[in-house]
Amino acid sequence: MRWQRLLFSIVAICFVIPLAVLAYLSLSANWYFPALWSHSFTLEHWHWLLRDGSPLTFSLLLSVGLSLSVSVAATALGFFVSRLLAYHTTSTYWLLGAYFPYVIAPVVFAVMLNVYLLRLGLTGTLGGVMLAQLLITFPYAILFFYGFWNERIRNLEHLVRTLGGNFRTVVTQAILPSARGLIAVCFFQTYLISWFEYGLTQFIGVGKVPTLTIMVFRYISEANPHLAALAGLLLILPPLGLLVVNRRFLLHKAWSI
Amino acid sequence: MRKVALIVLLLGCVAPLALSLGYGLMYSLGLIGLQSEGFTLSFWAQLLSGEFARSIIYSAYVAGASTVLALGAALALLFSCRLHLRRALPYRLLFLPLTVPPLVAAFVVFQLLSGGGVLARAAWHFGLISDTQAFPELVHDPYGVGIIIAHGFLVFPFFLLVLLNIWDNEQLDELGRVAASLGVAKHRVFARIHLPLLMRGIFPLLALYVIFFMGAYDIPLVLGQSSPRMISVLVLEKLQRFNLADIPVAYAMASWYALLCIATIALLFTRFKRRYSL
Repeated sequence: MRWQRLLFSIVAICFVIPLAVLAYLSLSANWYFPALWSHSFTLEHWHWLLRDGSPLTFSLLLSVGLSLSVSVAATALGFFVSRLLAYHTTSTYWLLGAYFPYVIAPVVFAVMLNVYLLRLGLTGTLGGVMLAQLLITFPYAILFFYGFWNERIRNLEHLVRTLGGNFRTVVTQAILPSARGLIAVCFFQTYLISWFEYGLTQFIGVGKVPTLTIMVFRYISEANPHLAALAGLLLILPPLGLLVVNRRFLLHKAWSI
Repeated sequence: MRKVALIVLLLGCVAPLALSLGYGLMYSLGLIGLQSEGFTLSFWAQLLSGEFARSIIYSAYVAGASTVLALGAALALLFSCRLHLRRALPYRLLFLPLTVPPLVAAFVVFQLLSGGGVLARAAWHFGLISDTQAFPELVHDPYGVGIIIAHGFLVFPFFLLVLLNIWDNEQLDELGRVAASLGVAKHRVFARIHLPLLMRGIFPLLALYVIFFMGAYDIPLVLGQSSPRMISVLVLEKLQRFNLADIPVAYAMASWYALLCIATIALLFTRFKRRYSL
């Protein structure tokens, strides 16, 4: 038992290393080889983040807004479309359609989709990036909710209708109370898909929609590890918060490498 | 209502990929595009020049190695620390790597393993190397070591969570006890009962991960070498070059890669549907 604990402690340290490296670099300045800890430490980067007009603060707000909009739209659409599919189609083969956007890498999908967004005047705009991200998150929400529409929910809906309820009553009195937990999980999962997205956002946004992932790569390209680390930390903190609240929110990550 | 459901599904999920793939194929066949001169197979023929094949093979190698590393680490931890992993804190810690975006994981691996990274600096302080060049090439290297490590780090906790779940669902503890009471040796219980059942449960996920890793973009972009490149990086690089003649070739690559993925998934789905309840 003791060596099990030791082995897992080593693994746990490996898990914490990314956070430690990011925090260390975000507090470091002039970190040149071969200095490991003899260089100077500063809060300058964090002060810069909090200053008015900081591009990173703008990116943070933009990313939050973008991910919130995408996740709300994807969850709402996916919820009701999955209901239509579950109740009004007999073959599960139709559901395969929802897997379509996942058969190729998002960035390759973006490459081939870009021409249509270009013609619609959406390339390089926030709307274009939102639409592109929605094309990834919406099918996910359909797949996520499809299993929810089982016999029990159907019977519950029938019960409310039998008692004189209309569609609105069915939704508010039968469906939503049963689906509240699932809706929250789906919302956070689609939020994270959008939050972590880089390739598709970069290609469709052509750098004009500077989300946090775009800023991380920009700072990496500029060989500025301190700001890249700071932006990276800002990317990790919300999912970390979700982990503290509820670990179920994170399980989607399996699909988003 | 059925029609509405199907129309929304087709518009939201099927049409974007079908239209994209159609455009890519037509562009790569010279039917549309800035330099279109009518139907030609010359851009497809350029795929045979070797760059595309090398990239696909390299992507498959990185994807395979990443999956094997992640699975190996997950299995090793499952069999060595299973009881410890049942406790609340260790179990919760397994979720920690899932909070790290791939791009950030790539950045951290670069800061750890590059010639000027943390490990190289530590090696210099211990007198093991005299300058950055002396440190072994672990990022931007021909074997994709950095990419494989970053992929493995991100995915192995998830594999471990899935394996733990399979272990419980298949009641492997009980099966192992029954086998042991019938006199089966420990290593045979592992080889004949535990491992086959675990592999059967996780196989669909492994197959999907090989495909996902093949199309990975963020991590290879930061940690990959310049040649051969992973397929997604290669396609984007070709598209963003100033040479207009490269664009149809990029579309040809993207289309063939997409078709390859669709064919592989279709094959997996039809061939293993029953055996692995896909």
